[in-house]
Amino acid sequence: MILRPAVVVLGLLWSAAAHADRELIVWGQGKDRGLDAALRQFEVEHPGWKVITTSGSSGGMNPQKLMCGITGGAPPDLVKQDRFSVGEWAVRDAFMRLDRYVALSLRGEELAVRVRATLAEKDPVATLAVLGELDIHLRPLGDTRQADLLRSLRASASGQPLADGTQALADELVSLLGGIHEQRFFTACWEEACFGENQDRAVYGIPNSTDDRALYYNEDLLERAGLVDGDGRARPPRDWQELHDFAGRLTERNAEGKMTRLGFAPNFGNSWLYIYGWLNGGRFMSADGRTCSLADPRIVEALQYMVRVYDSLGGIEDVESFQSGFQADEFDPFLTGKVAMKIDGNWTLNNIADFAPGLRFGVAPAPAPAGRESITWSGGHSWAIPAGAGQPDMAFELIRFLNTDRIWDLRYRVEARYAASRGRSFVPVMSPMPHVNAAAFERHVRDNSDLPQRIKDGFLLFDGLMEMSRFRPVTPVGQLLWDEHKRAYEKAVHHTYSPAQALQRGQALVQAELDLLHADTAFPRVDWAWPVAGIVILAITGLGIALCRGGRQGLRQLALPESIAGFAFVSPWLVGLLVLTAGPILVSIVYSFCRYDVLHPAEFVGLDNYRLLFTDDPLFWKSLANTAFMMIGVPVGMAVGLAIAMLLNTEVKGMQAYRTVYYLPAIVPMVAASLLWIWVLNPEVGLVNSLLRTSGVSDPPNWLQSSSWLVGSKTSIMLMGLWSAGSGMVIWLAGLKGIPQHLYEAAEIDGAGVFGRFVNVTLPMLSPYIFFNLIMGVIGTMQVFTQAYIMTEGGPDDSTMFYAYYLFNNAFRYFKMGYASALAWILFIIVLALTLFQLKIAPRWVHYESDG
Amino acid sequence: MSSLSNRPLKALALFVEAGVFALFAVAVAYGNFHHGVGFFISLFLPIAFGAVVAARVLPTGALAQAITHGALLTGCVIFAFPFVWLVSTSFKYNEEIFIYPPRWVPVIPADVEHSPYMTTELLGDLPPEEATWDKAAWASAWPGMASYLWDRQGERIRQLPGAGDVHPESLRAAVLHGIIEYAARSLPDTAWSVGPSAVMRQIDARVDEELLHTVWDAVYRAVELREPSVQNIQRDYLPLPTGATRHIDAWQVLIGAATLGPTATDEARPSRLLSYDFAGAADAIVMRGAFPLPVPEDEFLGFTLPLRQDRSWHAVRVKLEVGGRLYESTDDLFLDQYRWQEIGFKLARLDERDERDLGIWPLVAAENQHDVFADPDCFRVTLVVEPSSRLVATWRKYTYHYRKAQLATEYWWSYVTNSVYLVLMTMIGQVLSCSIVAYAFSRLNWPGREALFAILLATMMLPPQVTMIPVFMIFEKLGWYNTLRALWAPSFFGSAFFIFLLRQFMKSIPDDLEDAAKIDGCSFFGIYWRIILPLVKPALAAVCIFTFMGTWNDFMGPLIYINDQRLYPLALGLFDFRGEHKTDFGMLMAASTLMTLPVIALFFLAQRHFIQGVTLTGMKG
Repeated sequence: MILRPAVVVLGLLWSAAAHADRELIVWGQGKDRGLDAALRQFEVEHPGWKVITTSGSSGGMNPQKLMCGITGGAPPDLVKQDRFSVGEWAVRDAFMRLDRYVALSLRGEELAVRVRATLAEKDPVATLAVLGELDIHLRPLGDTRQADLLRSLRASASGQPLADGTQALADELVSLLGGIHEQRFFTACWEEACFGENQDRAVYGIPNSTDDRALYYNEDLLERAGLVDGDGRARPPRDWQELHDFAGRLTERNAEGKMTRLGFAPNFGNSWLYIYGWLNGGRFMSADGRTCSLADPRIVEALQYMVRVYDSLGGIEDVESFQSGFQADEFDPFLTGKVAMKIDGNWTLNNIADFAPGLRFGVAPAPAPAGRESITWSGGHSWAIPAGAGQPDMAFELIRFLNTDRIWDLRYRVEARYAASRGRSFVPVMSPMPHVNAAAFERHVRDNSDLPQRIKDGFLLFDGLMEMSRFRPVTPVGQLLWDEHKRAYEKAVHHTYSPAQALQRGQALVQAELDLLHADTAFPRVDWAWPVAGIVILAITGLGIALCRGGRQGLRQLALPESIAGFAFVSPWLVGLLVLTAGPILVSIVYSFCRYDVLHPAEFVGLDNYRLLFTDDPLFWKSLANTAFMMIGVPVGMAVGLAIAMLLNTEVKGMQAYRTVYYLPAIVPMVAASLLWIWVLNPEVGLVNSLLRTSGVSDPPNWLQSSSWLVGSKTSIMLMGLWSAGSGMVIWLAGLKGIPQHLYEAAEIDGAGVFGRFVNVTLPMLSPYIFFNLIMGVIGTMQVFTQAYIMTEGGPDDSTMFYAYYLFNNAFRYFKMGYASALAWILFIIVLALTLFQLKIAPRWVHYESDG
Repeated sequence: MSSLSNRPLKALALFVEAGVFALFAVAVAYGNFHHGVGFFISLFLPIAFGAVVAARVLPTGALAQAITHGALLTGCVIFAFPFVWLVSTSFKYNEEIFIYPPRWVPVIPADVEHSPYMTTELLGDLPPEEATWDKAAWASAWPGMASYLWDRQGERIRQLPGAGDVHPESLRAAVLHGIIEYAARSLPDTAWSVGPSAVMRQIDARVDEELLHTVWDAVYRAVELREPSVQNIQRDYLPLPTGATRHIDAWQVLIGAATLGPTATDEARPSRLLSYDFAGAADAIVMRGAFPLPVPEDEFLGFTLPLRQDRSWHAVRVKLEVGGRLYESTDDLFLDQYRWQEIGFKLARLDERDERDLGIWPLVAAENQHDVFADPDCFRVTLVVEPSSRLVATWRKYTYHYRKAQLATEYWWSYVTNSVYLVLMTMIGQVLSCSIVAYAFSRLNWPGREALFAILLATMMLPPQVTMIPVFMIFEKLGWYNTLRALWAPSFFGSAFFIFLLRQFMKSIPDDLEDAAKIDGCSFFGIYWRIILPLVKPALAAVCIFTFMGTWNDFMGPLIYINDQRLYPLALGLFDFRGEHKTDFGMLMAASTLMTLPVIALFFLAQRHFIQGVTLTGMKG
């Protein structure tokens, strides 16, 4: 333990010494033991290179980091990007086209194959010629294992007769130089990473993982409910009608009507409206990508179907509160028989193998409406090279390396070994290439006696289903389409709108965005000379006016020692303001009049953003209302904070410990606190609701799962805020400590009671702090963000879509920085108005001792 | 005090109180419909009322003290429970994290003296959750039901692999408990309404091989061994060369009250069962086996031992003799799982990489090299099992996730160092710059002060998301990208929030002290340094604490500016950790606890200075 710091220091020194290594920066890659081993192998085969991986936050690539990296001129060399967003970044020129590199990789492989062929034909002249070509081909990569191999091949090819093992060297060369073959990938995976029309079409990412979806069913439960075939074996539903029917028959309730088992819920697992829309023959986008057809009648039908199923189960809130009782993977209710059927991804197989190897389950393609064929849909990640990356050759070399068969094999072997060391059975992760999956099945699945047959069957089914997989439309508005498709589903199942209305609203929004992108009207680029000139003129005029108004007397005052000291003392902040704050703030005001996707230069669109905001953006008003509602929490929070502080200001033994305890909630890291609160407020098993149930509430609120205004997600977040009131307590406590005791004594002599002393001494003396906390509370509330970001993602049903979170989404999810800046300035004006109002009325109630 | 400000103040007090009571009103109104929602919210009541009551009667009587303590303690319950939960979760087995009702005291491991043994620690209580009977009905029906079930199934249960080796009573109790638990899960609710014998018949009908197998997995614990496989220097796994005898029979107990018996499981992969008894003598058990080398000894990197453990938390030491040298494991290894595992060991001198996270433990040359097994064609493995007391087992179980968390984050110490460094730098920056700026804003008169102060306030109002990218570009140009400087340097320019806070404090300081100093000819800086700064110590403490919290918990800044994992502060490390181990709840909680502890310690200690700072200000009289 004590040695650890020393080891770290030594490690740092060592890494500093070895800094001659060139680094390849990879973002978006979380802990993956198989891949780690592959990267180490890459370093071995490419001496002088080091691969540095950064997860880029919590599983997925954080868009802020990537955007900052690319625009700030410090992009990574390689990024692992959710495949469905590759097109979105590609259209904004953020990723490199990879076609040239793909062709080069094929050329390398072809040359290696020719080397082998000429060697087999015993044609040394031809061999040397091809080796020469290969040498030129590989030269940009520098010193690698391939180059070594090339040298030894050349040495042995020039000797007569051929040295033993030359042919083996050639075989190795071929395996080292495996290229990227489009046709070796599942079509869905490859297509999803391509973008563009006709000759502009290019591949921007090389798929590195995939998943797809099918129906899982619990055989025990189906058999018990009598849903069996002629042999008495469980029979999965064949079409939508049966699925609906089974859902009802498999759902169980207790005497009070509370759900104890869920037969099937359309959106439990990972299915979404996407799968139902496609199953019903719908299309979400037109073929040319110009028209969004979210409200396609077939998709409307699909959504109607989902709503019908939910309604027949007792409504969405019932189902959601039931399923929210289960959290992490090992508590997947399907694994414990609490849910009888679900449509979910192939990864569930791994969970079953890990946590419920004895489960009697089956997997079948998702049922389609009668007469239609079943399909699935897939997602996954791709490797992409950001625009401006410094070492694209080497970055692509890494992509190519990782996609060779031997490296996939290495990864699977390491993963299998790790699983064994943890006492878990190993199910290979699905690769985007069928032949790799076949090899993995052969090696790790087929003869593995620890794996139940059902899991082996499932593995094959999912691999086979990939052939008929759909994928989310590749479009510049992919994220928006996803969010709107989800929103339409939420609005429809909550019966806020009918399915058709909900989908039409979503379609209109997506279409508007598409039209904007495809509009031919060219907007002028922002000429920065104008805003800069404007600012300079403004500053000069301001200064001039100030000087004029101050006049000579003002100038004289400026020379007073007190003024000089004043300016000198504020200079740290002033410098920071000018260098770090003023620029960005002024830039953002210019952006608010622009269409600006961060990755391209801004285009001036006048007041468009503001007009759109006020006239055509329901979410803007919704988020404003949500945020305004949160203001209720400000005075309540202050009152609680003050009450606690007064309590902690009493003189009793052990106060130090008490204060620490009261401060605990503010100390627990947000990441941990959010997990904690999700658990505490869990409608089924949460602490709050179990307390409520013991005190006789039969139907406690659904807290974070409920979109209700009174006791719903917003109130939950307020509750969280109250609970961490301890952070404000420090200020109150400091304020209370600053009240001179003699004032209380004087008041007591005057015959003031406790309440009198509180009102006449404590409150006036605290008024500067009340004022401070009020202003900060209002500002903080207007900017409430983290809870929505970490815990609720704006849901359910947009009930925690707070202003700052909506702004964030526009800036970093939809690439609408201009719009986000407009939002920011409206927020700025609102907060400023509130603050000015408070400053205005402050002298009437804020009491400063120094004012006399 | 001026009586002028009295009326608005009363209004304000009323307003603040109205806020509190509005909350209660909502709660009560809601409580009328759903009895008792108010109950939870009203937990806050004792604090508020406690404060008022305490303030009213404080100077007199023990009653006041008691009430104050009562209110404080109530608050403690509310405010401490998250942390208690955090810590208690970090002590749990993964299997007990999400069970309902939640366990506040994590399972304390049993004192395992005999193995194999039966346990019910992973099973719920009886009656099972699904049962619709009450406890009393269950208690009266259970003995009869149990004997019925045992009559019907006892024979099959006794046939289970390993059932003959455990105590018959515990076998009966645990397996029947398990059968009820698992069978009840799929029993329709109507089954319970018919009566005990009917329920038993239904449960009995549900018992098949699969169910018994599942139950057995949950309740049976044993130590079993298979033959090791060898890893060569190229890191390939090689099986042992086949010989005349089964390698598995090479294992022998040398010392200790234990026997190695055969197990009747998989013929293709034979295993040996270790039965031990620590009850009489608490000596360690020593097991040893010599196995032929499938590779030349200089290509031998390590070996993999398939081991089924019994979760008794006894310690295991591993010794390896190969090539005439004796190697030992340096880490503490415990029997902490209950499934088959393949534990790897490798010679640390041949491969230095830390792969303990992958379940591969390093072996180092022992100091004492006497009497080393020197057959060049064989390697010999010795396992020493040392019994642990219940206390030790508990300690090992409770620290399990902590050890794992430490292994999973190779950069843990650099995270801590970075965080401490950042916190120190930002604290220094904020305290120095904010206090002097606040001084200028509050106590000096200079033209443009009010306008600049308005600008200062305004800078807080723009959400940081909009300025993030321009600021990033500036820092990048300054060459601060991927350095910690990008995270602490801004603090030296002050922060609007703290300047505003300190200004509020400084404004409430009476003028007299300053005037006196002025008369004494003190410079403005002198006044700031000698008079104002000491007077606002409590506020500076608050600034420090806020800075500490903000820096310690900030992950967005580091996420954007830091690329190199060696430069990560703890919060980002934890955020990453969450992404990578989201299913490993216990480990996540352990990591969170480790991250929170320094903050708690600091707050606890800083209290003192904070309070001293207040009492030394000379404002008391």
